[in-house]
Amino acid sequence: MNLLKKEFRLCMHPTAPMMLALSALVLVPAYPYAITCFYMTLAIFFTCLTSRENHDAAYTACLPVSRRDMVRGRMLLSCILELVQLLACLGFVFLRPLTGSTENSAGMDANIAVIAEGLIVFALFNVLFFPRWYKDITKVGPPFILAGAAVFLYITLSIVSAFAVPFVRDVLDTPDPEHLTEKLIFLACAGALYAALTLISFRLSVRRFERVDLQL
Amino acid sequence: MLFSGLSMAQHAAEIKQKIGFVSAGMTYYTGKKLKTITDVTRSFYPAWDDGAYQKYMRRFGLDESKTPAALSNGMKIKYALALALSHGGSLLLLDEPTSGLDPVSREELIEIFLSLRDEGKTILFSTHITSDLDKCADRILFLQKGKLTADSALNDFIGAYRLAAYTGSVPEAAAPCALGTCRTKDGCTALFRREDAERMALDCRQPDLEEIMVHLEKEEAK
Repeated sequence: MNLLKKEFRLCMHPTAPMMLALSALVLVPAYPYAITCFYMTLAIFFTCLTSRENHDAAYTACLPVSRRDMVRGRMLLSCILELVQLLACLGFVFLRPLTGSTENSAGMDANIAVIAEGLIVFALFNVLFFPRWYKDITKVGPPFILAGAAVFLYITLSIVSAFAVPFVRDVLDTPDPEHLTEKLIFLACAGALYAALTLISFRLSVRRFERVDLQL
Repeated sequence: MLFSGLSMAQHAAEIKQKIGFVSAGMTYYTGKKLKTITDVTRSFYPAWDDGAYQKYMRRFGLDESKTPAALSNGMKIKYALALALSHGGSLLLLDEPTSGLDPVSREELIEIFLSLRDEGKTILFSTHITSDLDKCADRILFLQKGKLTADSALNDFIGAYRLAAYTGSVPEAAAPCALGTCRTKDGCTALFRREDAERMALDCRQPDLEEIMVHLEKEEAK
């Protein structure tokens, strides 16, 4: 909890709450909604970038915590931001019918499946960004470019599949509550993928960060 | 690495509760207020003494509403010291605390170290500024290429060496015993162990800490 307090009060970049507000893009009739999750990964990237500039590792290494705890604190902050972003998106998915339609001409409709797509975006980001960053915390850009490229590739595939893949087009890309069972199964699978890849990311990050020679 | 018999690798968190660490470049979170940094730091230490913290902040003339960016280098070190002294650690580890400071700030810090010593605090600090050690150190640990080559009281350490000055080079009879030589305007100086100097009845004097360090380091570099 102390590390989480440190992450929120000293490390979190001010763009994180702003990116949360971008969840409202789910109300836009034609927008690839998974991109709202990419904005939060950008805020996490900025947080890591300013941590480097503020010598966060040097400060934290002097506190009575282990390297494992340092990684846990940062990844916990990231997961909280990611999940709050998805909750905010869910709220706007529920509000969307009030605008008259849930249809989206730029990909998946505003429905439960959008949250599942968000979980996959964050799962990819977590597993590609953190282990590479913790290998050398002075280099934040290359891991973000790699993770960002993978996220954009997935978002592109998701948009294309909403038009070209029959199951996605006819089952997932439909207004709620149509095909709700299939969408909830998709959500559960995405949740399991998020949990598994984030756990793998944490373990890899700890292993790599414990080998880093911190220059205090 | 062991601290009080505990392995640093396995007991890092426990050991760091007992250590206050201050480095020369306290550069973290330069845009955050000291009050915020202190509030976060204090939450990690169950033995945090707020009374002591307030006392040191007053004594060092620090204002909690300022940010590290608004502090001079000397004040940054004082703030880091105030944090390190308030969490109940038994050992203060200072990494080159006086480097980069102007002479007045250095003198002020040394006076603080001396008063902390009088209060019974143990301070272990690394420095290349040997005049600071002359002023405040009780004991010298001399590291050469990561190896501890001396560990003794300051006076014993200085007393163990003698320095001889020569016009020209070191005489052949004395050269094998010279621990290190340095060129001077008129010739050279050579460092000897006191026993060797007395045995050879050399015309020499007691060197200061800087002379010992320079001669030993030069020899090591050869």
